Amino acid sequence: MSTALVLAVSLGYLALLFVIAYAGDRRAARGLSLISSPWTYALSLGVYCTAWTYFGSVGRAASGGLWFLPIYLGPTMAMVLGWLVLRKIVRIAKVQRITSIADFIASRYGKSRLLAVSVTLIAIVGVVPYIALQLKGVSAAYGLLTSPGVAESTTQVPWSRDGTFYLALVLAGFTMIFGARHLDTTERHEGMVAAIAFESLVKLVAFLAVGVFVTYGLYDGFTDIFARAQAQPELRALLRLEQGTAFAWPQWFTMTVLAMLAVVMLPRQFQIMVVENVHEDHLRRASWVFPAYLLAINIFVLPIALGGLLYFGGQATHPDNFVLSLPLAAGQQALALFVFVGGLSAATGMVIVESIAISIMVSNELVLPLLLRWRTALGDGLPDLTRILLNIRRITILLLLLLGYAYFHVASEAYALVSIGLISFAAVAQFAPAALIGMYWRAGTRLGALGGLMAGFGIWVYTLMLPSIAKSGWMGDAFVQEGPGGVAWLKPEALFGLTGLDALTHSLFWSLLLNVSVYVALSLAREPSARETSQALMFVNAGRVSGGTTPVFWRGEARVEDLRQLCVRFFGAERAQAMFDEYAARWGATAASVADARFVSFIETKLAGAVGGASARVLVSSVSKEESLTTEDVLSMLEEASQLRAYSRALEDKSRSLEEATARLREANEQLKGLDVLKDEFMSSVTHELRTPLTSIRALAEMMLDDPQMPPEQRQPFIAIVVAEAERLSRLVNQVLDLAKIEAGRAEWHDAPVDMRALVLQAVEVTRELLREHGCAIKLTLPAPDALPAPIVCADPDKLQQVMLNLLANAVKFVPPQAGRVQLVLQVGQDELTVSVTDNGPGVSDDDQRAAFDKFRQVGDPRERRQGTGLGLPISRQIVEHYGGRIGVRSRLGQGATFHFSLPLLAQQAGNGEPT
Amino acid sequence: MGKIKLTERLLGLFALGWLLLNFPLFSIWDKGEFLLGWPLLPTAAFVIWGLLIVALAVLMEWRGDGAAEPSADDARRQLPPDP
Repeated sequence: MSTALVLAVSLGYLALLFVIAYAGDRRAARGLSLISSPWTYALSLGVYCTAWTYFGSVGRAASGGLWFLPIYLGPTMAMVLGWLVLRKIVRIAKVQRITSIADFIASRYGKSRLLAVSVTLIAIVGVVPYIALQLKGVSAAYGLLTSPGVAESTTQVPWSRDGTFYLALVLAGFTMIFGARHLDTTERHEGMVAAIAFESLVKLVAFLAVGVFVTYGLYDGFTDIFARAQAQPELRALLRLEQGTAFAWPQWFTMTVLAMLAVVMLPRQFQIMVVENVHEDHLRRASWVFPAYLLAINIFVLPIALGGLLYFGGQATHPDNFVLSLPLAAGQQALALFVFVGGLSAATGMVIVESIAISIMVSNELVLPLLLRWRTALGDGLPDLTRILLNIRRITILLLLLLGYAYFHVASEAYALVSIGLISFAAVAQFAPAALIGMYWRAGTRLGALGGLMAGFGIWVYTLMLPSIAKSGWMGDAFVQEGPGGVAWLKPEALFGLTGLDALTHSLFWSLLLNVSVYVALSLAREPSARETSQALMFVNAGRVSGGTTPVFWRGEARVEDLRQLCVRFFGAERAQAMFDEYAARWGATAASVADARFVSFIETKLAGAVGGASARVLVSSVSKEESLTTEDVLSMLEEASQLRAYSRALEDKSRSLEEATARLREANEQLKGLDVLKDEFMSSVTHELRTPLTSIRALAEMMLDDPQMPPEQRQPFIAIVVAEAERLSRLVNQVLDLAKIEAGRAEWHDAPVDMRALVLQAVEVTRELLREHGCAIKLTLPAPDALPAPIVCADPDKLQQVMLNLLANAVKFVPPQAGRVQLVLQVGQDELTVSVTDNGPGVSDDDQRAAFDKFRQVGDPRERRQGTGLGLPISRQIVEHYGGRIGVRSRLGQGATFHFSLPLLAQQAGNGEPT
Repeated sequence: MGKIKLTERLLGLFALGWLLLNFPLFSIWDKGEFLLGWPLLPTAAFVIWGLLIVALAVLMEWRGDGAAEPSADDARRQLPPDP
C-alpha cells in the first residue's frame, strides 16, 4: 500500500476527529451540549482501550491464551461498584471543582501542594512508557502497511528520519488544538469528549470487522478455528490456563486488581470519567455499557490470535500485528486500512486525553504555584496569567510526547507492548490507597498519604522500573540477578526471599503493602491540621449530603476589590463581572459587597475550577489576611452549621404554619366585614321602615289633637290609618323577632297535619282585598278535593300561612297596577308537594335571584320597591327549610317571576318538626 | 430503603464476580473439553463475564420505585451551586 494513501487517510481521520471536537465545543458554547447523553459518556470511557488492546491483546493471547482477559475483567469489577464509589468521587469533584487526579488527592489532604506535585511527577513517570507504547503500536502498523516484509529496527534509524518522530509531533499538535485552546472555570472539554466517544465507536467497529473477517472469512466460524487449534498441541494449550505449568492464580488475581485500580487512577480515565462527567446520573448507564463495550471488543481476540498462528504456521510474524497481517495476507487492502485507522484511533484517543490530563496537572500543580511564589517575590510584575497557563500546557504536551518518543526510541525494543503497559498501571496504582481509602476514612492525613505514596512508588521503581531498564540493556543487570551488592534478600524481583511470583505480581504486592501500611501508620501517628480535617470531612461526607450548603471553613479579612482584581487576571473583566453578578443574584447585592467567608469560598472554588485547588488556595490567601484555624475551630464551625441547618428548618416550618394562620384570619376578617356591611344595610333599612309608620301615626295623631272639632267623617279614616300603621309596625317588629328566634333556634313550632289545599285557599281569601285593590287577577290550579295522594304536610299552620301570605304579597307588590295576573299552582308529587306563585311583573335578574333570599336584601328596582323589610323571603326560607323543604325562584327579566317552594308530604316526614 | 438495597446488591454482585472468576471456582472450567465445538474455558469466561454485565445492567436500569430517567435537559445541569 502506498504511503501517500495511508498518510492521506490517517490525516483525514484526524481532521474528522478535530471537526467533531470543534463542533462539540461550539455547541457547548451555545448551550446545546452534544455530550449530554449517557451513551456518549459511556462510550467515551472506551478510551481505556488503546493500541495495547488493538495489537497487544492479540499478541498476549497468541503466547498466553486467556491472559489478555484480566485487564478487562478488572474494569468490569470496578464498574460494578461504579454507582457507589465512582459516583461519590464525581460528586466530590463537582463540589470542589477538581481538575485532575492530582488535584483530587491533594484536595482531600488539605489542598497540599507537596502531594499534588508528587502525584503529578509519578503520573508523568508512569505515563511516558504508555505513550511510547502507542507510538510503537502505530509505527509498527504503519510499517506493516506500507513496507511489509521489512524488519522493524527502529533503533537504527536516527530520529530525524524516523517517521514515528513526526507522528509524535503531529499528535502533539492535534492534542494542543483539542485541549489547550482556552481556559475554563470548569476544565471541561466537551468537544474532546465527543471526539473520544466517536473514536471509541470506530475502534470497536474496526476490530469487530477484522474479527468477523478472520473468523468467517478465513475460516468457517468459531468452532472451526477451535477445532483446528485443538489439533495442534501448542495451540491447544492456549485454550486452557494451565499450559503445562502450574497456573499462577495469584498473578491472575493481581492483574485483575491492578486493572480495577488503574481504570480509575489513570490520568486519562480520571479526566474522562470524573472531570468531564456532565451528570452523575450518567454513571448509571455507563456502569454496564462500558463493560459491555470491553466484552464486545474482546470477543474476537482469541479467534484472531489462533487464526493468525494457524495461518502463518512457522513464519516470523509478530502476533501483535495479526489484526493487520491477516487481512493483508488475504488481499483485503481496504479492511487492513480500516483496521489501521482503528488502531490509529485507539492510540490517538489515549495520547490526546492522557496528555491533556497531564498538562493540566503540570500547569496547575507544578508550574503555577512556582509562578505565584515568584510573583509575590517580584511584586505584581507578571501580566496575563491565562496566556501563561495555556502556553505551559502546550509546552507540556509537546514535551510529554517527545519524552514518549525518546522512550520508544531507546527502551521499547526489549518488551512486548503488554509488559510496558502493565508497568505503567502499577505506577498509577500507587495513587489508590491515598485516593480511595481517603474517601472513606476520615483519619487519613496528609503525612500518611505522602509517606504511603513515596513508599509505594519507591518499591515500584526498585522492583519494576529498574529491572526493566536493566533488561533492556541500559544498565548492568547484576543487581537484578544477585541483589544490590550481592545482598540476596534485596533482589528486586524476589524481595525478602519472596519467590514464586512473577515480577509484576511481586512488585504490586510489596508496593501496595508498603503503601497502605505506611499510610495507616503515619496517619495514626500525628494529628491532622485543621484544613485537613475540614477537607476530610467534606470528602467523606460527600456521599450523604447531596446539595444543601456545606459549611465554609475560613476566617479572615479580604477586600472585594482585591478579589475582583484576581478574577479579572484569570478570567478577563467580562467573565469576572459575570461571576460577581452570579453571586449577587444568589445572595443579594449587599452580600456581594462584603468579602465574608462565603464570598471568599465562592471565589476560591471558581478559581479552583481553572487552576486546581492548591493553587486557588494560594491565590486567595495571597490577597486576604487569614487567620489560621485550629481543629476545634473547624469542629465548632461544623457543629454551628448543622445547628443552623436544624434551626432554619424549624424556622421554615414555623413560618409556614404562621402563613396558614394568617390566611385563615384574613378569610375570617373578610367574612366579618361582609356581615358588618349587611348589618349596616339592615339597620338603615329597618330603621327607615320603622320610622315611616311612626311618622304617619304621629302626624295623624297630632292633627287630631290640634283639631278637637274635626268632623267624625274626617276623623274616622285618620284613626283607621293610625291603627293600620300601628299594626304594620308591630308586624315588622314581630318579623324581626321571628327571624331572630328562628335563626337562634328558639322559635316555637306547633306542628300538626295541615291540608295544604285548604291553607292555600285560606291565604287567597286573606289577600283577596289586596288583590282587588291592585286590580290583580288570580288563577288557582289546585288538585281535586279528594285526590290522592292527599296534600297533607306536618307543619305549623301559622308559619306556613306566613309563607303563603309573603309570596302572595310579593307577587301583588310587583305586578303592574290594574293589569296584574297571579297564578297559583299546587302540585302534589310522589314524596312532596310544590306550591308556585307566578306573577307577570318585571321579573328578577339572575344576580338578584341569588340574593333574593338573603337577609335584608330587597330585590328589584329601588324606585319600584314597595314597603317591606326585605325579611319576608328569608323568613319564608327559614320556615320551609326547617321542614326539610326547598324554596326558590325562576325568572327572567321582563317575563315575570315564579316563586316556588316544596315540602315533604306527611308520610315521608321523619320527625322534622321538633318542638323546642 | 431502595437505595440501601441497591448498595447491598451491588456489593453482592461484586463479591460474586470475584469468586466466579478466580481460583478456585474458575479453575472448574479449566478442562480441555469442548461443548458443542466451543472450548470450555474461554467460553465459560465470556459467558460468566456477560452474565455479570447483564446482572449489572438490570440492577442499574431497573428502578422499582418508578423514578423517571433523567432527560437530556436534566443532564445539562452541569455543576451544583457553589457553597
